[in-house]
Amino acid sequence: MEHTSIIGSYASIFELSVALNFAYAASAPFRETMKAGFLKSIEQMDLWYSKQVTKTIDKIRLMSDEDINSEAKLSLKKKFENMLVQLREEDEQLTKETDEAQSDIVNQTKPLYIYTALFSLFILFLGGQEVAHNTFPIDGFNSIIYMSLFLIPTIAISSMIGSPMPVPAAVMLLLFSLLIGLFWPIAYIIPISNKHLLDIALLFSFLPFTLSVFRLTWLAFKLELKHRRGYYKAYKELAKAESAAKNLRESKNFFKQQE
Amino acid sequence: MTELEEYQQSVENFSSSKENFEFTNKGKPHAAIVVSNLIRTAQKELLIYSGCLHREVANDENLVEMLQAFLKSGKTLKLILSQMPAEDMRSEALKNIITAEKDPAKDVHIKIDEDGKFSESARSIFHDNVAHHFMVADGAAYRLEIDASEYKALCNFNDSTIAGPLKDVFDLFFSRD
Repeated sequence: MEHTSIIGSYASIFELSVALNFAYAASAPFRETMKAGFLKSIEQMDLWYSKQVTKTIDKIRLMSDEDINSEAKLSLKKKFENMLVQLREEDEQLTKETDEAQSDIVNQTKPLYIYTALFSLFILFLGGQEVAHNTFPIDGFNSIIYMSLFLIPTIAISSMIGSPMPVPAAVMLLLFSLLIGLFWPIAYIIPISNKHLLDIALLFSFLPFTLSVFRLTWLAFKLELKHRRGYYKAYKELAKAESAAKNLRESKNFFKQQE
Repeated sequence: MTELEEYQQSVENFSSSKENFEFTNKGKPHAAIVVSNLIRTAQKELLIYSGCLHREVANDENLVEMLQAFLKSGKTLKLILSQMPAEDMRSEALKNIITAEKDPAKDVHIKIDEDGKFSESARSIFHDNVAHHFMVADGAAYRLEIDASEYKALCNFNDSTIAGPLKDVFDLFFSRD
């Protein structure tokens, strides 16, 4: 009886997984594009701080060119100078925490991305075996899934506790599990259908992306919680200072028709 | 960076971003920086009311360069002078404007306030009854001279509540004839 290729039907998804996982591990621009959506509000906050720092420096410089002969104006200039210190500190803190956290996420998840890229490659290899031998390669599949059930959590936990597994080690582990799968396959068959085994393999293939989504969402949430209050405080204080600057305009005193 | 270079950078930032922030401006080099940036960032029109576009400021190299680019762009420039200086006393900026006015393809107009009618209407809008010289760009950015001897002025790159009345009195004078 002609065996219906199961792995072959999902081959394009595993091919995509290989490409995306390797791209994430190897390409910084790709990682930036992935992160951009999750950290957009943090990046906008950071951008606002940077912009306000420049504007406040400009205001202080322009105010220095004049004869400041009123206490109100002197006090306003002092306020802008204090605001500049506050804005710079908040901006530096936010940038530092975002960069450090992002760097941690990348370094900690790189081994997992490499592992799942190679894992997906092996599944595609099994797909070839399925067509060549006209049967579902149950032994190889069982073996790689069993090994991954052990190896993936090991890699993930090692990164979470701050001792991320080096990429070469993750690759060696995968190659080891592939050898097991090819030459000494695990005989005990996982008691679920072939199709569901494939579903598990699909889950593993995109697990690093799923984990990254959760981690980036959590990071954005943590940073927002920490910095949003400071941001609103700075925003309100700047608005007050700008309103005071508007009220201290000398030009309105020159005109007969006031606003 | 020198203090003047820092000042220039800040003025450029504010003029480009059309920041609504009033600042005073004192001294010839500072005046030239503000005027250059008013010219550089004017999108449609420039209105200038001056004594004679004095060489002390209007000979500034960067200012003249910005003005030449403005005049080439075909935007509107209207100039009112209290008096036309003798040819050998004219600033580079004024010479460029006079040349541009002769070109019918350009929207450049000069009027001399010989009978003092403009200074009379300009005086009437100020509390101190002085016809302050000024420059307005696009009805929003301005440089309003408050002390001609010290080249001291009030400036803002985006305040139509102040620039508006200046533009109105200017346009009214130009619309006569």
